[in-house]
Amino acid sequence: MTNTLRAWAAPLTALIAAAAFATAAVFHAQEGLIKAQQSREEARAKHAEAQRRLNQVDEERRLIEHYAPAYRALLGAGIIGAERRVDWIDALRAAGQSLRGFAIDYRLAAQQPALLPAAPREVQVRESVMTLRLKLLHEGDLLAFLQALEEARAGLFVPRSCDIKRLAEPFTVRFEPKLEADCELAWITLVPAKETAP
Amino acid sequence: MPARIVLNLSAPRVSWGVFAHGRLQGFTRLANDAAARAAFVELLAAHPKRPVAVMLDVVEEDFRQEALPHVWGRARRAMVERKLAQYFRTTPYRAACLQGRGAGRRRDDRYLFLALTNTDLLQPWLEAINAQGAPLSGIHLLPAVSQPLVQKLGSRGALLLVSLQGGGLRQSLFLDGQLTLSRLTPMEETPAEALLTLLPEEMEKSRLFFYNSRVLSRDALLTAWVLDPDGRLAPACRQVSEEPNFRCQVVAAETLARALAVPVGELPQDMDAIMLSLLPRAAAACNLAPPAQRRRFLEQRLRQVLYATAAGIALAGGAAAGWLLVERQGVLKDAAALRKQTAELAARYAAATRSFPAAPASAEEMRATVEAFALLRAQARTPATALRLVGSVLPAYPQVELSRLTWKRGQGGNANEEEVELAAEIRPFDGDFRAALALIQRLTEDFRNRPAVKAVKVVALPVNLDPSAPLSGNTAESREAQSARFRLLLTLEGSP
Repeated sequence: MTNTLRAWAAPLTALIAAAAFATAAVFHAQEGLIKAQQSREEARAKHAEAQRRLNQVDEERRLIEHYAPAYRALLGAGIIGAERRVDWIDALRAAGQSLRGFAIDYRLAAQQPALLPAAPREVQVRESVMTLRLKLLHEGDLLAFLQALEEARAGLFVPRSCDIKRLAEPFTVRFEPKLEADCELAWITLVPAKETAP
Repeated sequence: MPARIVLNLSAPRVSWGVFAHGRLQGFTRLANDAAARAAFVELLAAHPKRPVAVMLDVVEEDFRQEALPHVWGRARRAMVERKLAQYFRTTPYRAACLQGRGAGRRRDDRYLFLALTNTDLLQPWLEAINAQGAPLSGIHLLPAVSQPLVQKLGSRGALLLVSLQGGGLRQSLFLDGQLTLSRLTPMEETPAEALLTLLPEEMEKSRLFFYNSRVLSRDALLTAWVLDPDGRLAPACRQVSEEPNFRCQVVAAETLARALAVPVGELPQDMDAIMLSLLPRAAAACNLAPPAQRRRFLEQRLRQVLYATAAGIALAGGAAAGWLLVERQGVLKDAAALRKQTAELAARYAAATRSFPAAPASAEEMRATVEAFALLRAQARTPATALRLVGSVLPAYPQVELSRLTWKRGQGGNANEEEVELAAEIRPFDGDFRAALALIQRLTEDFRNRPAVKAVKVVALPVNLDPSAPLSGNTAESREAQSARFRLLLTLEGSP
């Protein structure tokens, strides 16, 4: 029995070893080929992109001339790039002047990507949701506040909702607030996608 | 063909050699005795595990020709086994060689049944082979071994193959190239002069036997081919008188060498050596060895097949991997060429963009950012429209006092819309619900008629008119103490 096992062990081992070797060799070579093909596809894509850019060099010049002023304006308005919270607080204080000195309660949530399906993929839209509580003499104060916030050029502010309530009478002083508004605004910043890529 | 030891046994003599690389090497011829067996055992010990093929040149042999119905597979095997048991009941060393199909309408299979009828000569040698653990590849009768030689020499009709072997004078009858009968005349070392008379006499005896046993008709032409590598039999053949139905031809060393595809100088002078060199090519079907005695050889061959398969798999795997590696090199070369071209294109692009006006970002990035901003601005809404609308309508209704205004911009697919919910109260209210409802109805219609308003929905009335909703109150309560609160929901087609 032992002799029989010994007699067959070598050829069977050789067969298994050969099968393992062949499988490993083919697998390894196949893996290498697949990686090489992927590398070639990447190189091909980059080549096509480079070719496309070269072909569109005139169009690119036109785009730069057309969009550069607006882009610089957005940069200056703090709409492009990182969120500038100090500017925002300053803008809030400045806009608060339109409220005849009434205080503003504010709360700013953490910044997060905004859902904007139509946005180009080259740019990421981020938003910080701010909640404001304002005391108003009349409803025109709210519009003046929003206008002042926009003119402060601290970013793009998009109102989402405002809940305006009449405060309880009696009012004893002439410039006593008559209304209270709870507003939710999205503070939008745009970040080029390449800056957000990992 | 793998190397193997070939052994020729006859009653008076024994010979052997090692067949390797298509040539017989180390040919040895001795008297068949214990000393020869001892020498053979030494040879086996020097070539361990080397297969051994045995050829028998003895008178204790039997040949039967018969046609059997043409069948396949298990039926054929059973029929052949039955026939072998019937013809050669007492010996395990028997075989059936299929020689072709018959000419009749049924086209039966033509078989030559052959057997070794006495194993006394063979047994001691088989024991020696088994004792050494050497694998036995086969046992063949010498006439069956000579079959390929006849076919190479190109025989037609009736042929009597004559050769002087170690066991004596061997005469084998081949009809149309197929072995039919064989006869051995035992003889000791015979002087050349004696052969002059012995050869014609023995051939004549054979002819008479063929005629009498009706194997051959008397008017059929019989050609005797005398294998004569050393020239000893040629004079005797020349002495045989030519007859219309018989003639004797010498197959000299040159013809034999050509048939065996060896140089004349390398052709053995001994007929036993020539036959031994043919032994590895003997037909497997004419192998007399029972499978049980060939087990060691069959297992060895199976192991060789496994090794060969393993080598084949490894080779195929290596070849496939090599091919893939070559493909990979080609692909990498393509990729490198593309990268080089890309670098050239990038350089040309960089040269072209040097004349561009200074810009804070790439053109594509600026376009995308500016367009995204424009999209956001287009969708941005403020409560201004809602407040202006309410401020333009409510002055016409001094008894309606607004307590709360909730503005929301539309979400998702309704991003252009705005929702405004108004919570108001009629003051003073004298308890006349009918008048209050009429006033609210007018107010609703007034809002509905404004161009910016898409829809107006009454969310709540001072009194719930819905028949499915419960209604409660107290008629004793003074009319002035009652209130007339209501809520409206406006949907605006918003504008920035």
